Amino acid sequence: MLEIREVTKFYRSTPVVDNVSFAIRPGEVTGYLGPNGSGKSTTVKIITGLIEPTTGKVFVDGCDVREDMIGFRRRLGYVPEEAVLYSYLSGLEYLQMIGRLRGLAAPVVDRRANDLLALFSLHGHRYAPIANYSKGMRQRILIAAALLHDPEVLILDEPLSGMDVTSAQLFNHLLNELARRGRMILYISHVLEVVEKLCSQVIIIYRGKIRAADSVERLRKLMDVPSLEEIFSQLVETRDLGAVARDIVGVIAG
Amino acid sequence: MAEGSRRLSVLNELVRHFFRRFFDTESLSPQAEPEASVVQALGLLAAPGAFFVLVIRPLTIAGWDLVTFRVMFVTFSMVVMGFLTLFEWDALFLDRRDYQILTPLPVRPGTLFLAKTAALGIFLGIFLVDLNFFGVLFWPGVDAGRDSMAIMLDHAVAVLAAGLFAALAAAAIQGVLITLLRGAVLRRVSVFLQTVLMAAMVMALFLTFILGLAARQVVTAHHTIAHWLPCYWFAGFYERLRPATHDKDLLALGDWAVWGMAIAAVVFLLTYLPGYRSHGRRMLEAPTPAPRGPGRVRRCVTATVRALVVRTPVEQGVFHFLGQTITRSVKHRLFLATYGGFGAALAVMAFGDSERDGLLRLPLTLSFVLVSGLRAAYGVPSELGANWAFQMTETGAIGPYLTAVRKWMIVCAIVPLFMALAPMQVMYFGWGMALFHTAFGVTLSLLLMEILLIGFHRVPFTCSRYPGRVNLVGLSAVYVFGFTMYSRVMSGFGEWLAETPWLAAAFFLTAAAVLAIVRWHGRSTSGSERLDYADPVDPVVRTLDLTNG
Repeated sequence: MLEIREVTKFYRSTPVVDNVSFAIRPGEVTGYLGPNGSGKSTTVKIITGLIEPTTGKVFVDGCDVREDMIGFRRRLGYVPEEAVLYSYLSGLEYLQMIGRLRGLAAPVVDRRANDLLALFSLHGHRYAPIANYSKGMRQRILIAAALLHDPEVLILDEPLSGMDVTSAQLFNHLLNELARRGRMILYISHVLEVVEKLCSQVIIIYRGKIRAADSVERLRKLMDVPSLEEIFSQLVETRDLGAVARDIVGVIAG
Repeated sequence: MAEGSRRLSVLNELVRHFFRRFFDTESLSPQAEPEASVVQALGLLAAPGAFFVLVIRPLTIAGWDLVTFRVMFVTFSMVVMGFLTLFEWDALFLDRRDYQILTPLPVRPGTLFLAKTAALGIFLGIFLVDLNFFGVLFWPGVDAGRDSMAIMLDHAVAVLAAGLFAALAAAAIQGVLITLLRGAVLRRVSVFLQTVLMAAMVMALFLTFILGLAARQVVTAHHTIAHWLPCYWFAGFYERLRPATHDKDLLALGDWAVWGMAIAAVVFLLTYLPGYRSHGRRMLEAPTPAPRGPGRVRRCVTATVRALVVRTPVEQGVFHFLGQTITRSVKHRLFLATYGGFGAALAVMAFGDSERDGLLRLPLTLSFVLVSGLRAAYGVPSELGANWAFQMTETGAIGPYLTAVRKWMIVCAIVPLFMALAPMQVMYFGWGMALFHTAFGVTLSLLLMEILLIGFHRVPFTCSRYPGRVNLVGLSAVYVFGFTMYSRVMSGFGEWLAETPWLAAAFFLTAAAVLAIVRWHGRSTSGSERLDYADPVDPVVRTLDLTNG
């Protein structure tokens, strides 16, 4: 089980993540929701060890990941928020590099990289530099790289960004299959319908603090609203969006 | 009237935009402010001319001596302008981002072309004036003539024409390439030419003094090299404007300058506009190329390297990453081309004394430039934001990463260099001595590599650069020694060793012991070390956190 316990992160004197705690169990897809700037990606960077928390710890199977970050990263697959890749490498070269850096033997890397590229419909572009890839193609490369070593923990930060409908549908099936095989998955997305469909648990963060953490079903009952979108709106969005839209039109027409 | 002023305002905005784009190439630091970069570059380029003209001003020169200094100033103007145009080679035309952002806007293609051309002209014009400003201003003291204004004017015309010629010639070459070639062939030829020409410009810059000092001999001896080097054409052009020697051969070279300028201008005009149109169409309409992947030879080489050189997966990953970055990253390619040009200039200078001395010094000079150039390039980040891939996949011990770094330098740089030079060594020194000098050179290169990699706990190109992180004193000492005395001192040492076999054996044994100890030390400490990415853990600007009681 992956546990985040009382994690806080200050930038200067502002808490961007404030006393956040939650757990992800094997076989579960946990949705992590919040508007832009709410602290989602900071939480993810803390979990992956890219940044240090000011206070709090992350545990996996009861062990503090800081004590063996390398060991934790061996078990981790990560798709970051931004598809920043070495653009002069081809898709195949990138996957080969990641596989080798993860210590996989060359034949295994070559086989898995080629198979994944084929399954993600990228095989025809495998020798083209990533600079020529569309956003959705880059996203698929990131997902393939995160899965290459068959990780136990998957952290996916906006994985569907820029993807076409077919790829997104494939990804949703893939996530279900991985969860069925006991993987721990933290899934960050703004696409609430997908989160509602896929995630057994939803955590909503706003201004660094957790506003809700439960199954969608229980949240619906608790808040007496029909959808995750309604739950989200009630918890994090206090503005009248219709009025804001009218104001925008007023600005451009004026 | 309103429409005219709107168009002018759009044109102004576009000129400003394109001008700024010249300073946001991949080769500049991502943290750099464009305005600060402009000011720094202008100051840096104005300084050499200002310094040199003030040094020679009290001499008040005439005749061939004056021609010598004219050649130096003309060469400097040409080399810098040529280098700048080649540096901005890809920015001479609109790129895909420009087309994608600007073409949906209600702006005429002609306005885009005009704005790009104007921005290019302003960019080159500013640098041309800047780098020659002090030279022109203080030239009346250098030239023994009396009419200061005429002296300034003639000097300005000569150096500005020389710089303009270099810029036009470089731009015309790209115009020709874009007009004649397509797709992958265009990319390959363009990259190759840009790299080679930039190295040639750096080489010429470091040979400026030699070119000046050789002017009299080259011209009066009717050497064909005078017709191959445009700096002598413009020295002839200068002679026509303001005779210093009245030498007929020198005056005749002035014709070459006029014809050269005319041809460069005509080719530029004939290729730039049509090339601009077809380039735009291709940018927007060309399908994304789907390369076929590595050929049989490359696959074979890769398999051999994996089998013999880099056997562990991490070593393989880092080794291939190094090769791919150095051959494909524009920034690193141009950086190494600059070093290559510098090395070529030093190699030419090494032959100044005697052929034998030159042949002894050449491998040492080139290996020093190569190893130090690669070490410097390792510190230049490439797509820094993508280094998370290395951070997330770290395997613990840093040994395999650092071993791959050394192996790459040896297999892909040091060994090929000495292999390329070996036939020349064999022809001149015979098998036995060639083998000794090659072994001596390789050993010195390995020692140099270890010295330069002390404290280097990174995967090259993945670490951000911060001032103060480098041991500047230590590195400066190595570089100053390397670029001034290294090849002379070491070639003398090598010759001494060659005459005393037991000393040679002692040297090789000592070097082997030192390298073994360094490797052993590296392996024994690699388990406790972590790779350095130099990413700030907290924001770069920190407060004292006084409110966070």
